[in-house]
Amino acid sequence: MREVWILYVRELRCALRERNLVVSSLLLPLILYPLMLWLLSLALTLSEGQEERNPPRIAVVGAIPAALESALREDERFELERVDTDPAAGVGAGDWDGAVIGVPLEVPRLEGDAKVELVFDSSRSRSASAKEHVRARLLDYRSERLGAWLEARGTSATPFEIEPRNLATDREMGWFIVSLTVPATMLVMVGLGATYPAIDTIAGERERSTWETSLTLGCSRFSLAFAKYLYVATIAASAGLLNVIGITLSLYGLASSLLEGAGTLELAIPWSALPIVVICDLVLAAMVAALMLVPVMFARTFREGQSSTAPVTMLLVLPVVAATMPAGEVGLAFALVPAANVLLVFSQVLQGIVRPGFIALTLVSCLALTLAVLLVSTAMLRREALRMRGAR
Amino acid sequence: MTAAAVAVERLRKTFEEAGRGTVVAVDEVSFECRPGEVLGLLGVNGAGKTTTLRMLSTVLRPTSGSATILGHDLVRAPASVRASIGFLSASTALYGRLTPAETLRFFAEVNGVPRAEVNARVDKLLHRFELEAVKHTQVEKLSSGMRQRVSIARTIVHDPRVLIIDEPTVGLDVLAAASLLEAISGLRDEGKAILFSTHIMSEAEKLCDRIAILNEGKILACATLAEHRASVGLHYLEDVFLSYVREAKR
Repeated sequence: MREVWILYVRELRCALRERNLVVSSLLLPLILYPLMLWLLSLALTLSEGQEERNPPRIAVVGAIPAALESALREDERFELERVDTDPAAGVGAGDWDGAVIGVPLEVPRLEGDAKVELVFDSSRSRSASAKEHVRARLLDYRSERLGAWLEARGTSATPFEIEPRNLATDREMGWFIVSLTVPATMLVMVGLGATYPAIDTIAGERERSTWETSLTLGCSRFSLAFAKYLYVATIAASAGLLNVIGITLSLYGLASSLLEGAGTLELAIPWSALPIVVICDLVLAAMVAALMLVPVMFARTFREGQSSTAPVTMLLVLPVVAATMPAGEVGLAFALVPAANVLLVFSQVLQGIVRPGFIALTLVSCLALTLAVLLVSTAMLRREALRMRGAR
Repeated sequence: MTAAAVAVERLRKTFEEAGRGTVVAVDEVSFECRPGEVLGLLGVNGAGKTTTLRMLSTVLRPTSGSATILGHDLVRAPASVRASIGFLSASTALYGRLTPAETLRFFAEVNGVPRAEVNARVDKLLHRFELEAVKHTQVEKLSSGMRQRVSIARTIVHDPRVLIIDEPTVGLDVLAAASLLEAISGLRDEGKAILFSTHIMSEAEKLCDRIAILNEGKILACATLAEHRASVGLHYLEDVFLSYVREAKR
């Protein structure tokens, strides 16, 4: 094992001095989601500010009840302007963001009754947004009118009432949201973290002419292959954990302000789930690192390595769907589906569901797959045609 | 006579190549190299020098034949063979992101130098190859001459009794090449068995105690320079070489 340790330390030392690797495999997983959420928050704030300073303009045409027009004018989310020209043409030309057209009814059913047409252009976000604001105000007005009419006749305004009761606490709701996002992004980041080192340690060495140097070291081929594997797995696991840290900080600090009604939610990974988070990360990293090394064996250059790992990276996106499956309803057979099973365990634990049988089967199947792929990698390294690929 | 450090017996290597079928790169070569001797493998590009040395360093597996290095069989004990040799070629570059000190430490440790001796060994070689001033500079930032000195130092850091050196002066300027050949000569004087491949006649003339002339995978002759001259009746090694090659083609 000392031999493996010496080789492993060498790989790691070289890697941590490679700027591209540090950025793509360590820095990016840490800052990507905080950065994305911050940019999203910034964009929303800017958009809201823009709308406040320059609210959508709505044209009013025709006869609409004075009370309705007055109610619309009171709404600060849009500006009302009475016009005589064709409102549809004005909206189409972008002069207005929407139009309210009063259409007289031949036989009014109630006092102050009217038909209102709402004109908008859904291909423009500003017009679509204006439509939602105006429509909401119109519906409020209609409810108020209906309530007043019913009250004048001595009856209730609503035939029945709806009162939603959420049994989940804010903490449980927060964990549920976290369980939908964190496991999936962790898998993606483990894949991203493993890609560069896997390519660099084989195709990169071939390109730099250090591959043959490694092959002539006074150590066994197994030690060499295992040290390279451990190195890739270490970087992948680090990327996964850094991503969890980054996304947790983002959820804690920014997401609650972005999610409507999420102000009181506890968007954080519970401390009790941390051991399982680490185990899931290690299992995923071990598996993904082994899978990444197989296609890279065929690559002679870094560019070929990038092409060869692309299918593996794409395959890693498929299990992400698993994280969105109902935690308690997944059958035991899913524990045999690589990567998806780990995401399910991760997701279940975050929701407070612990299924020992599922977890045990997941660990066994992942370990079996990892060992099988490692054996394939080692066998490939023994094949001279692959070992010497690209040799001059 | 001293026992051979390297013993090669009818070593052969073939490759399957698309469109060409079976290509014989090395065709049953046999030779020995003794301690304190530089055995030169002289031949043009594609003669089979590098393939022969790659087999001896266990990078390639022989198709047939046998070879032992210090008694370790190439096929049966490849890890022992690797630990017993120092291998240097144009295709064994240094790890660019390590410093010379880290490089020497790594090669010493991975080649089994006892921990207690590693520091002393590294310091001694840094001093011997005048690398102390740059010992903490990453190798990729060094000049090609400096890098070649680090390469030689890392090749001998575990004090191997056999050195396999494949065209080491490729890409070096005259001064750096001369300095490297001096270093190799010094290692011969320390008693190391050295296999040295080159296509540069003057290098072989200056450095090699015996010269094996390779052409199209076969050894045409293996003798001292004086014996070669006597054999073909020509003085300059280039003429001697051409004489053997033309004779083989007849």
